[in-house]
Amino acid sequence: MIAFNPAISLLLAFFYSLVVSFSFFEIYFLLPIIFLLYIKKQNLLDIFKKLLFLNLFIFVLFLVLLFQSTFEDALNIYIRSNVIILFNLTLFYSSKGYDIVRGLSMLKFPNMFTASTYFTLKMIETLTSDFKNIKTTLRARGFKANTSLFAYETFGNILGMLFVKSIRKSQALKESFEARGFSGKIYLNDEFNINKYDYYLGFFVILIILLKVIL
Amino acid sequence: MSCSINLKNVSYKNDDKELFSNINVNIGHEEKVAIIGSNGVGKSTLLKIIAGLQHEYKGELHLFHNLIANKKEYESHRSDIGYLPQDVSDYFLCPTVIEDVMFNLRAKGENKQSAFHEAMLILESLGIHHLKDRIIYELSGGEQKIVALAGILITKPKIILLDEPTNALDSKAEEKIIDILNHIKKSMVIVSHHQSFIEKLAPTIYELKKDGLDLLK
Repeated sequence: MIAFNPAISLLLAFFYSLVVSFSFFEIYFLLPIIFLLYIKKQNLLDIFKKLLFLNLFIFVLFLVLLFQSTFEDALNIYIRSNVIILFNLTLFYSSKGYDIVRGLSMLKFPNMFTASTYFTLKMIETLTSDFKNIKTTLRARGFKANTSLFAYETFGNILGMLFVKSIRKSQALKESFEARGFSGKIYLNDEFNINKYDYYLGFFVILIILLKVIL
Repeated sequence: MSCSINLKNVSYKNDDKELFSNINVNIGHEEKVAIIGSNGVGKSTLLKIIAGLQHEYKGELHLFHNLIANKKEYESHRSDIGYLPQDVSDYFLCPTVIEDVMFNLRAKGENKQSAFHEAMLILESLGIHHLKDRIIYELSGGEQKIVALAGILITKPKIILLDEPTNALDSKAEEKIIDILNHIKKSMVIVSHHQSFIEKLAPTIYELKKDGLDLLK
Protein backbone atom coordinates (compact mmCIF):
# COMPACT_ATOMS: atom_id res chain seq x y z
CA MET A 1 0.00 0.00 0.00
CA ILE A 2 1.48 3.37 -1.03
CA ALA A 3 1.57 5.70 1.96
CA PHE A 4 1.80 9.45 1.59
CA ASN A 5 3.67 11.54 4.12
CA PRO A 6 0.97 12.54 6.67
CA ALA A 7 2.21 16.13 6.92
CA ILE A 8 2.31 16.57 3.13
CA SER A 9 -1.14 14.97 2.86
CA LEU A 10 -2.58 17.38 5.43
CA LEU A 11 -1.08 20.41 3.70
CA LEU A 12 -2.16 19.33 0.22
CA ALA A 13 -5.66 18.44 1.42
CA PHE A 14 -5.96 21.86 3.03
CA PHE A 15 -4.75 23.86 0.00
CA TYR A 16 -6.63 21.76 -2.57
CA SER A 17 -9.89 22.02 -0.58
CA LEU A 18 -9.34 25.76 -0.14
CA VAL A 19 -8.76 26.46 -3.83
CA VAL A 20 -11.61 24.27 -5.05
CA SER A 21 -14.11 25.58 -2.53
CA PHE A 22 -13.45 29.24 -3.43
CA SER A 23 -13.44 28.93 -7.22
CA PHE A 24 -15.67 27.82 -10.05
CA PHE A 25 -15.24 24.22 -11.10
CA GLU A 26 -12.58 23.58 -13.73
CA ILE A 27 -11.87 20.25 -15.40
CA TYR A 28 -8.20 20.32 -14.33
CA PHE A 29 -9.32 20.07 -10.68
CA LEU A 30 -9.66 16.38 -11.46
CA LEU A 31 -5.94 15.89 -12.22
CA PRO A 32 -4.81 15.02 -8.64
CA ILE A 33 -7.95 12.94 -8.13
CA ILE A 34 -7.21 10.84 -11.23
CA PHE A 35 -3.67 10.37 -9.97
CA LEU A 36 -4.90 9.33 -6.49
CA LEU A 37 -7.56 7.00 -7.90
CA TYR A 38 -4.91 5.36 -10.08
CA ILE A 39 -2.73 4.78 -7.01
CA LYS A 40 -5.61 3.44 -4.93
CA LYS A 41 -7.15 1.49 -7.83
CA GLN A 42 -7.58 -1.62 -5.66
CA ASN A 43 -9.96 0.28 -3.37
CA LEU A 44 -11.95 2.13 -6.03
CA LEU A 45 -15.21 0.36 -5.28
CA ASP A 46 -15.04 1.07 -1.54
CA ILE A 47 -14.07 4.70 -2.13
CA PHE A 48 -17.02 5.29 -4.48
CA LYS A 49 -19.39 3.47 -2.12
CA LYS A 50 -18.41 5.90 0.63
CA LEU A 51 -18.79 8.83 -1.75
CA LEU A 52 -22.25 7.61 -2.73
CA PHE A 53 -23.25 7.35 0.91
CA LEU A 54 -22.02 10.90 1.59
CA ASN A 55 -23.95 12.06 -1.47
CA LEU A 56 -27.18 11.37 0.37
CA PHE A 57 -26.35 14.43 2.46
CA ILE A 58 -24.77 16.50 -0.34
CA PHE A 59 -27.78 15.91 -2.60
CA VAL A 60 -30.10 17.35 0.06
CA LEU A 61 -27.86 20.43 0.14
CA PHE A 62 -28.09 20.60 -3.67
CA LEU A 63 -31.90 20.52 -3.49
CA VAL A 64 -31.94 23.30 -0.88
CA LEU A 65 -29.55 25.36 -3.03
CA LEU A 66 -31.85 24.93 -6.04
CA PHE A 67 -34.48 26.96 -4.22
CA GLN A 68 -32.06 29.63 -3.10
CA SER A 69 -29.99 30.22 -6.26
CA THR A 70 -29.72 29.21 -9.91
CA PHE A 71 -29.38 25.65 -11.17
CA GLU A 72 -25.81 26.37 -12.40
CA ASP A 73 -24.71 27.59 -8.97
CA ALA A 74 -26.29 24.66 -7.19
CA LEU A 75 -24.75 22.19 -9.65
CA ASN A 76 -21.35 23.85 -9.36
CA ILE A 77 -21.39 23.66 -5.57
CA TYR A 78 -22.60 20.05 -5.76
CA ILE A 79 -19.74 19.05 -8.07
CA ARG A 80 -17.10 20.95 -6.09
CA SER A 81 -18.29 19.35 -2.82
CA ASN A 82 -17.97 15.95 -4.44
CA VAL A 83 -14.53 16.76 -5.84
CA ILE A 84 -13.24 17.90 -2.43
CA ILE A 85 -14.71 14.88 -0.66
CA LEU A 86 -13.42 12.46 -3.30
CA PHE A 87 -9.92 13.97 -3.07
CA ASN A 88 -9.83 13.68 0.72
CA LEU A 89 -11.48 10.26 0.79
CA THR A 90 -8.95 8.84 -1.65
CA LEU A 91 -5.96 10.56 -0.07
CA PHE A 92 -6.81 9.39 3.45
CA TYR A 93 -8.44 6.10 2.46
CA SER A 94 -5.74 3.83 3.86
CA SER A 95 -5.07 6.18 6.78
CA LYS A 96 -5.71 4.82 10.27
CA GLY A 97 -7.10 8.12 11.46
CA TYR A 98 -4.02 8.79 13.55
CA ASP A 99 -2.17 9.94 10.42
CA ILE A 100 -3.78 13.31 11.04
CA VAL A 101 -2.08 13.39 14.45
CA ARG A 102 1.22 12.36 12.86
CA GLY A 103 0.80 15.11 10.29
CA LEU A 104 0.11 17.71 12.98
CA SER A 105 3.13 16.51 14.95
CA MET A 106 5.40 16.70 11.88
CA LEU A 107 4.12 20.17 11.06
CA LYS A 108 5.17 21.22 14.58
CA PHE A 109 1.68 22.13 15.79
CA PRO A 110 1.64 22.86 19.56
CA ASN A 111 2.01 19.67 21.64
CA MET A 112 -1.23 20.29 23.51
CA PHE A 113 -3.16 20.66 20.23
CA THR A 114 -1.65 17.47 18.78
CA ALA A 115 -2.32 15.50 21.99
CA SER A 116 -5.90 16.84 22.22
CA THR A 117 -6.55 15.83 18.59
CA TYR A 118 -5.20 12.35 19.29
CA PHE A 119 -7.31 11.84 22.41
CA THR A 120 -10.39 13.24 20.64
CA LEU A 121 -9.92 10.70 17.83
CA LYS A 122 -9.33 7.97 20.39
CA MET A 123 -12.54 8.93 22.21
CA ILE A 124 -14.52 8.98 18.95
CA GLU A 125 -13.22 5.49 18.15
CA THR A 126 -14.11 4.20 21.62
CA LEU A 127 -17.60 5.70 21.55
CA THR A 128 -18.22 4.39 18.01
CA SER A 129 -17.23 0.91 19.15
CA ASP A 130 -19.47 1.24 22.25
CA PHE A 131 -22.34 2.42 20.06
CA LYS A 132 -21.91 -0.59 17.76
CA ASN A 133 -21.92 -2.91 20.78
CA ILE A 134 -25.10 -1.31 22.10
CA LYS A 135 -26.74 -1.67 18.67
CA THR A 136 -25.81 -5.37 18.57
CA THR A 137 -27.18 -5.83 22.09
CA LEU A 138 -30.44 -4.13 21.13
CA ARG A 139 -30.79 -6.42 18.13
CA ALA A 140 -29.97 -9.47 20.23
CA ARG A 141 -32.63 -8.45 22.76
CA GLY A 142 -35.31 -8.10 20.10
CA PHE A 143 -35.52 -4.30 19.95
CA LYS A 144 -37.06 -2.88 16.78
CA ALA A 145 -36.58 0.79 15.93
CA ASN A 146 -39.96 2.42 15.24
CA THR A 147 -41.82 5.59 16.18
CA SER A 148 -43.21 4.37 19.52
CA LEU A 149 -42.57 6.16 22.80
CA PHE A 150 -40.66 3.12 24.02
CA ALA A 151 -38.24 3.34 21.06
CA TYR A 152 -37.58 7.03 21.74
CA GLU A 153 -37.05 6.28 25.44
CA THR A 154 -34.56 3.58 24.47
CA PHE A 155 -32.65 5.98 22.19
CA GLY A 156 -32.60 8.47 25.07
CA ASN A 157 -31.20 5.80 27.38
CA ILE A 158 -28.51 4.89 24.82
CA LEU A 159 -27.43 8.52 24.55
CA GLY A 160 -27.36 8.77 28.35
CA MET A 161 -25.29 5.60 28.58
CA LEU A 162 -22.80 6.88 26.01
CA PHE A 163 -22.56 10.17 27.89
CA VAL A 164 -21.88 8.43 31.22
CA LYS A 165 -19.39 6.07 29.53
CA SER A 166 -17.52 8.98 27.99
CA ILE A 167 -17.23 10.65 31.41
CA ARG A 168 -15.96 7.40 32.97
CA LYS A 169 -13.52 6.90 30.10
CA SER A 170 -12.16 10.42 30.47
CA GLN A 171 -11.79 9.83 34.23
CA ALA A 172 -9.85 6.61 33.52
CA LEU A 173 -7.70 8.44 30.97
CA LYS A 174 -6.93 11.14 33.54
CA GLU A 175 -5.77 8.39 35.91
CA SER A 176 -3.50 7.01 33.17
CA PHE A 177 -2.07 10.50 32.65
CA GLU A 178 -1.20 10.63 36.35
CA ALA A 179 0.13 7.07 36.54
CA ARG A 180 2.31 7.45 33.44
CA GLY A 181 3.61 10.99 33.99
CA PHE A 182 1.85 12.58 31.00
CA SER A 183 2.69 16.28 30.71
CA GLY A 184 0.74 17.35 27.63
CA LYS A 185 2.88 15.71 24.97
CA ILE A 186 2.57 12.44 23.10
CA TYR A 187 5.73 11.06 21.52
CA LEU A 188 5.56 9.73 17.96
CA ASN A 189 8.39 8.04 16.11
CA ASP A 190 7.83 9.46 12.64
CA GLU A 191 10.60 10.81 10.47
CA PHE A 192 9.81 13.44 7.85
CA ASN A 193 10.33 11.29 4.75
CA ILE A 194 8.99 12.38 1.37
CA ASN A 195 8.59 9.79 -1.39
CA LYS A 196 8.07 10.24 -5.13
CA TYR A 197 4.28 9.96 -4.80
CA ASP A 198 4.25 12.94 -2.43
CA TYR A 199 6.16 14.91 -5.07
CA TYR A 200 3.75 13.87 -7.87
CA LEU A 201 0.68 14.78 -5.82
CA GLY A 202 2.30 18.02 -4.69
CA PHE A 203 3.04 18.86 -8.31
CA PHE A 204 -0.61 18.43 -9.35
CA VAL A 205 -1.96 20.48 -6.45
CA ILE A 206 0.58 23.27 -6.95
CA LEU A 207 -0.26 23.26 -10.67
CA ILE A 208 -3.93 23.82 -9.82
CA ILE A 209 -3.05 26.63 -7.42
CA LEU A 210 -0.87 28.28 -10.07
CA LEU A 211 -3.50 27.93 -12.79
CA LYS A 212 -6.37 29.12 -10.64
CA VAL A 213 -4.92 31.65 -8.24
CA ILE A 214 -1.84 33.13 -9.86
CA LEU A 215 -2.50 32.98 -13.60
CA MET B 1 12.21 -8.53 54.77
CA SER B 2 12.19 -4.80 54.00
CA CYS B 3 8.76 -3.34 53.48
CA SER B 4 7.65 -1.80 50.17
CA ILE B 5 4.03 -0.99 51.00
CA ASN B 6 2.50 -0.49 54.40
CA LEU B 7 -1.18 0.36 54.94
CA LYS B 8 -2.28 1.37 58.44
CA ASN B 9 -5.98 1.62 59.35
CA VAL B 10 -6.95 2.62 55.86
CA SER B 11 -10.65 3.20 55.27
CA TYR B 12 -12.56 4.62 52.33
CA LYS B 13 -15.99 6.19 52.05
CA ASN B 14 -17.89 6.54 48.80
CA ASP B 15 -20.77 9.06 49.01
CA ASP B 16 -20.99 8.72 52.82
CA LYS B 17 -21.16 4.93 52.51
CA GLU B 18 -18.18 3.14 53.99
CA LEU B 19 -16.74 0.78 51.39
CA PHE B 20 -14.04 -0.73 53.59
CA SER B 21 -12.23 0.08 56.82
CA ASN B 22 -9.43 -1.12 59.08
CA ILE B 23 -7.10 -2.18 56.27
CA ASN B 24 -3.71 -3.12 57.70
CA VAL B 25 -1.14 -4.83 55.55
CA ASN B 26 2.61 -4.98 54.96
CA ILE B 27 3.93 -5.99 51.57
CA GLY B 28 7.61 -6.85 51.49
CA HIS B 29 10.33 -6.43 48.90
CA GLU B 30 9.69 -8.74 45.90
CA GLU B 31 6.64 -10.19 47.65
CA LYS B 32 3.63 -11.13 45.52
CA VAL B 33 0.30 -10.52 47.18
CA ALA B 34 -3.16 -11.14 45.81
CA ILE B 35 -6.35 -9.49 46.97
CA ILE B 36 -9.65 -11.16 46.24
CA GLY B 37 -13.16 -10.19 47.27
CA SER B 38 -16.73 -10.05 46.06
CA ASN B 39 -17.88 -7.56 43.43
CA GLY B 40 -18.15 -3.95 44.61
CA VAL B 41 -16.21 -4.52 47.83
CA GLY B 42 -13.55 -1.98 46.76
CA LYS B 43 -10.61 -4.05 45.48
CA SER B 44 -9.89 -1.65 42.60
CA THR B 45 -10.29 1.36 44.90
CA LEU B 46 -7.76 -0.10 47.35
CA LEU B 47 -5.33 -0.64 44.47
CA LYS B 48 -5.89 2.94 43.30
CA ILE B 49 -5.08 4.19 46.81
CA ILE B 50 -1.74 2.35 46.63
CA ALA B 51 -1.23 3.62 43.06
CA GLY B 52 -1.72 7.22 44.22
CA LEU B 53 -4.80 7.73 42.06
CA GLN B 54 -7.28 7.91 44.93
CA HIS B 55 -6.45 10.34 47.70
CA GLU B 56 -9.81 10.60 49.51
CA TYR B 57 -9.09 7.94 52.13
CA LYS B 58 -8.42 7.84 55.85
CA GLY B 59 -5.43 6.13 57.41
CA GLU B 60 -1.78 5.91 56.48
CA LEU B 61 -0.04 4.79 53.32
CA HIS B 62 3.71 4.17 53.60
CA LEU B 63 5.88 3.49 50.56
CA PHE B 64 9.41 2.29 51.30
CA HIS B 65 8.96 3.41 54.94
CA ASN B 66 7.96 6.96 53.96
CA LEU B 67 4.54 8.22 55.00
CA ILE B 68 2.61 9.51 51.98
CA ALA B 69 0.45 12.30 53.35
CA ASN B 70 -0.66 13.94 50.13
CA LYS B 71 -0.59 13.86 46.34
CA LYS B 72 2.61 15.91 46.16
CA GLU B 73 4.52 13.48 48.37
CA TYR B 74 3.34 10.60 46.22
CA GLU B 75 4.84 12.13 43.08
CA SER B 76 8.42 11.49 44.31
CA HIS B 77 7.59 7.75 44.29
CA ARG B 78 5.56 7.76 41.07
CA SER B 79 8.29 6.20 38.94
CA ASP B 80 8.68 3.35 41.48
CA ILE B 81 5.09 2.23 40.93
CA GLY B 82 3.68 0.54 37.83
CA TYR B 83 -0.11 0.39 37.70
CA LEU B 84 -2.12 -1.70 35.24
CA PRO B 85 -5.81 -0.71 35.22
CA GLN B 86 -8.65 -3.17 34.77
CA ASP B 87 -9.52 -1.85 31.32
CA VAL B 88 -6.17 -1.48 29.58
CA SER B 89 -7.66 0.44 26.67
CA ASP B 90 -7.58 3.45 29.02
CA TYR B 91 -3.89 2.91 29.73
CA PHE B 92 -2.51 3.61 26.26
CA LEU B 93 -1.39 7.11 25.35
CA CYS B 94 0.13 6.54 21.88
CA PRO B 95 -1.15 4.93 18.67
CA THR B 96 1.38 2.15 18.04
CA VAL B 97 2.86 -0.50 20.35
CA ILE B 98 6.46 0.73 20.17
CA GLU B 99 5.48 4.39 20.67
CA ASP B 100 3.40 3.55 23.71
CA VAL B 101 6.08 1.37 25.32
CA MET B 102 8.63 4.14 24.72
CA PHE B 103 6.30 6.80 26.15
CA ASN B 104 7.35 6.70 29.82
CA LEU B 105 11.06 6.92 28.99
CA ARG B 106 10.59 9.77 26.55
CA ALA B 107 8.35 11.60 29.04
CA LYS B 108 11.30 11.40 31.45
CA GLY B 109 13.50 13.06 28.84
CA GLU B 110 15.33 10.03 27.45
CA ASN B 111 16.30 10.36 23.78
CA LYS B 112 14.44 8.55 21.01
CA GLN B 113 17.19 6.08 20.10
CA SER B 114 17.88 4.77 23.60
CA ALA B 115 14.13 4.66 24.42
CA PHE B 116 13.58 2.67 21.22
CA HIS B 117 16.41 0.29 22.09
CA GLU B 118 15.08 -0.34 25.61
CA ALA B 119 11.52 -0.75 24.33
CA MET B 120 12.68 -3.34 21.81
CA LEU B 121 14.50 -5.26 24.56
CA ILE B 122 11.34 -5.35 26.67
CA LEU B 123 9.16 -6.37 23.71
CA GLU B 124 11.61 -9.15 22.82
CA SER B 125 11.73 -10.42 26.41
CA LEU B 126 7.92 -10.59 26.43
CA GLY B 127 7.86 -12.22 22.98
CA ILE B 128 5.80 -9.50 21.29
CA HIS B 129 8.47 -7.66 19.27
CA HIS B 130 6.64 -8.64 16.05
CA LEU B 131 3.76 -6.39 17.16
CA LYS B 132 5.91 -3.27 17.48
CA ASP B 133 4.40 -1.28 14.59
CA ARG B 134 0.81 -2.42 15.09
CA ILE B 135 -1.95 -0.01 16.10
CA ILE B 136 -2.73 -0.93 19.72
CA TYR B 137 -6.52 -0.88 19.33
CA GLU B 138 -6.32 -3.53 16.63
CA LEU B 139 -4.67 -6.02 18.99
CA SER B 140 -6.49 -8.73 20.93
CA GLY B 141 -7.27 -8.23 24.63
CA GLY B 142 -4.41 -10.53 25.67
CA GLU B 143 -1.90 -8.77 23.43
CA GLN B 144 -3.04 -5.39 24.76
CA LYS B 145 -2.45 -6.56 28.36
CA ILE B 146 1.09 -7.69 27.50
CA VAL B 147 1.80 -4.38 25.72
CA ALA B 148 0.55 -2.49 28.78
CA LEU B 149 2.77 -4.68 30.95
CA ALA B 150 5.74 -3.81 28.71
CA GLY B 151 4.89 -0.11 29.23
CA ILE B 152 5.09 -0.69 32.97
CA LEU B 153 8.24 -2.84 32.98
CA ILE B 154 10.26 -0.39 30.88
CA THR B 155 10.28 2.09 33.77
CA LYS B 156 11.80 -0.59 36.06
CA PRO B 157 9.30 0.01 38.88
CA LYS B 158 9.87 -1.42 42.35
CA ILE B 159 6.19 -2.18 42.82
CA ILE B 160 3.71 -3.48 40.25
CA LEU B 161 -0.02 -3.12 40.84
CA LEU B 162 -2.30 -5.20 38.63
CA ASP B 163 -6.07 -4.81 38.53
CA GLU B 164 -7.71 -7.96 37.12
CA PRO B 165 -4.82 -8.72 34.73
CA THR B 166 -6.53 -11.77 33.22
CA ASN B 167 -9.99 -10.27 32.97
CA ALA B 168 -11.74 -11.46 29.77
CA LEU B 169 -8.71 -13.44 28.52
CA ASP B 170 -8.74 -16.96 27.16
CA SER B 171 -6.75 -19.70 28.91
CA LYS B 172 -3.81 -19.45 26.48
CA ALA B 173 -3.41 -15.70 27.02
CA GLU B 174 -3.85 -16.23 30.76
CA GLU B 175 -1.07 -18.83 30.84
CA LYS B 176 1.22 -16.40 29.00
CA ILE B 177 0.48 -13.61 31.50
CA ILE B 178 1.11 -16.01 34.42
CA ASP B 179 4.42 -17.06 32.87
CA ILE B 180 5.50 -13.44 32.40
CA LEU B 181 4.45 -12.37 35.89
CA ASN B 182 6.14 -15.39 37.52
CA HIS B 183 9.44 -14.29 36.01
CA ILE B 184 9.20 -10.75 37.36
CA LYS B 185 11.03 -10.32 40.66
CA LYS B 186 9.29 -7.27 42.07
CA SER B 187 6.78 -6.45 44.78
CA MET B 188 3.42 -7.11 43.26
CA VAL B 189 -0.18 -6.58 44.32
CA ILE B 190 -2.73 -8.36 42.16
CA VAL B 191 -6.43 -7.79 42.42
CA SER B 192 -8.55 -10.49 40.90
CA HIS B 193 -11.54 -12.70 41.52
CA HIS B 194 -9.97 -15.42 39.40
CA GLN B 195 -8.94 -17.92 42.11
CA SER B 196 -7.03 -20.41 39.92
CA PHE B 197 -4.97 -17.63 38.35
CA ILE B 198 -4.05 -16.16 41.72
CA GLU B 199 -3.02 -19.50 43.19
CA LYS B 200 -0.48 -19.98 40.40
CA LEU B 201 1.04 -16.60 41.05
CA ALA B 202 0.78 -15.27 44.59
CA PRO B 203 1.96 -17.11 47.70
CA THR B 204 0.01 -14.69 49.90
CA ILE B 205 -3.72 -14.17 49.39
CA TYR B 206 -5.97 -11.75 51.26
CA GLU B 207 -9.70 -11.41 51.08
CA LEU B 208 -11.00 -7.86 51.19
CA LYS B 209 -14.06 -7.48 53.39
CA LYS B 210 -15.94 -4.44 54.61
CA ASP B 211 -14.13 -4.50 57.95
CA GLY B 212 -10.62 -5.37 56.79
CA LEU B 213 -8.33 -7.82 55.05
CA ASP B 214 -8.46 -11.51 55.98
CA LEU B 215 -5.34 -13.57 55.33
CA LEU B 216 -6.44 -16.66 53.40
CA LYS B 217 -3.07 -18.17 52.54
